[in-house]
Amino acid sequence: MSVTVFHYVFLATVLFSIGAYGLLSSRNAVRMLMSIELMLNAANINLVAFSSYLGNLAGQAFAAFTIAIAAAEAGVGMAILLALYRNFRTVNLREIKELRW
Amino acid sequence: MLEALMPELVIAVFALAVIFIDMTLREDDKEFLGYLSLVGVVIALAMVFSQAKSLLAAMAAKQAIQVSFFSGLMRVDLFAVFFKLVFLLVALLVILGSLDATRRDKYKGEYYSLVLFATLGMMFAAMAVDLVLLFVAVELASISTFALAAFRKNRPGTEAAMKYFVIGAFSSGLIVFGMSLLYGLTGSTNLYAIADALSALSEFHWVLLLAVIFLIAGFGYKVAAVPFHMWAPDTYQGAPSPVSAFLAAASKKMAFVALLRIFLIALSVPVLVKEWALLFAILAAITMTLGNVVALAQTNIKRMLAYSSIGQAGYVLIVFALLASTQVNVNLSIGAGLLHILTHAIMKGGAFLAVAAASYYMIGSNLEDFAGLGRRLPVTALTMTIFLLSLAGIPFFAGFVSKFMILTASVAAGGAYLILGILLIINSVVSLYYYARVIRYMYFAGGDVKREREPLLLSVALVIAALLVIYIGVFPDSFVSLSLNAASSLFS
Repeated sequence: MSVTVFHYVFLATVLFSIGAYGLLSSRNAVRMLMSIELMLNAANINLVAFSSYLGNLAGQAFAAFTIAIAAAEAGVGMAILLALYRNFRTVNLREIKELRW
Repeated sequence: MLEALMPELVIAVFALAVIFIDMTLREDDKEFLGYLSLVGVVIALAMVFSQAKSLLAAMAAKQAIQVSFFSGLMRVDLFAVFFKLVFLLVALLVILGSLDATRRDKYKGEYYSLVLFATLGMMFAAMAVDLVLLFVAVELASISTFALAAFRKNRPGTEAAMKYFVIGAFSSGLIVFGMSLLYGLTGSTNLYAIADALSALSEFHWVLLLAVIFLIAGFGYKVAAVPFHMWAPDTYQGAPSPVSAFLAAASKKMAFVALLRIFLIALSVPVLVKEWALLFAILAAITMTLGNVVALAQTNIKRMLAYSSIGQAGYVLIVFALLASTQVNVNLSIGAGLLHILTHAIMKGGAFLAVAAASYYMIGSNLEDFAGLGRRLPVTALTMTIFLLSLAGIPFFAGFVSKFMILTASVAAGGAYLILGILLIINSVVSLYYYARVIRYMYFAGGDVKREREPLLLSVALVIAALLVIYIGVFPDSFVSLSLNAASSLFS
């Protein structure tokens, strides 16, 4: 059995689902950041797989931009996390209830 | 070719200049950076204004009316220019207000450069006709506003920013995954090429529907449509008021521009339109109803404004639902949405800036804190009244004109779409109650309070916004025709 584009897309979908589940179910902000990375990278796998399947490079270029954006997003996210921790001495979003939900 | 990009170049140069000059200044002199960024925005606004003028003239003469470049990566048409006007106008008001509102804050250089970078991202999003550029531009604006929300680093600010960041990043994940599916199905990232590939598609593919759902959910978070809205009240309440103004008035509008481009150009295949128009109709109905009903129960003004802005986003979503109808002119419905985006940006931005003016005197944002504001800060209270009446849709204010236009479009569509129009009217009536409550507190409550000197630049920003609201309300013709022309330039 050879590896087809379907397998890659399946892998990406599984990764994306794990990321989405982790984001929605956990209340720890660090774990949420990790889940976000999973979701963005799932899209990257998709893009690169489609790119090689279709034989055009647009997808790989897109993936390169997404990687850069994910890095920037993680940087800003960590900065906000640090500021949050300094204020509340916790990163558990369930314990942070200054604003009414 | 580069002439069309000059406004963006100006904003980028000023944003970088603010960062570098920031390093050379002492803490007391950093107010200069605000004036510097103000100059940049004014120059860019003047350039975009002349772009709009020449495009309108070209349209009247039936010449070619758009410039595409970078091998079809972006397109400068009247639609893009219209949104650039909205974003720059909001940036102008926010920076003008911030000069007073952030006077006591540190990190002014970072603040103003982030506002400029966010504006830059929004301007590129308005021009993008390629998924890659669209995503990068949307992220440039989003990541800048994440940092802006945490700008004061206090308890409510960081909590607001964390919630905004988590939801924002989640929605980015949804959007990019949806875009990757769209690319896989069509083999291109250009919106026009995607449209061609999809119209050649013989049968309806379920993966396509999945991509549509991912994109609607992702951008739904960014426009804060119900059920993707829960971050908005917390973020708008916790963030500094000028930043809330920027988020509600500009950031949200960027998501609309992306939605309009993707759905009207790439996904406007007849088979598909019926599917997503139904989704948008449901979203619009629950968004406007829930936003306005929950706003009734709010006692914090910033939170109430956030829910009202959720409701107002619902009014714009009606426009997407109307696109499936063959009865109504596409230009009329999209033009109505564009006009409402413009008027809502001005009045909601103004309302948040009025809250910022109050908090300049350590007045909180609870309803009781606003008691007697009419005597304490008369200019702020008067302009706030104008914004609130306009948001409620009282005639001779801008909000009435755009709501009326949406209503006209939904009546023209007839049939089931009439329900959306009726919901719009009911919700406007409901909203009048909670807007009027604020006005009552400002003028008919509170004991003896002393009149204070109001912050000058914030008052100037408020008066500009209020005059615009009244001007659009009394002389709507030129604005209506501008938005109709902008809508038609989307397809030419």
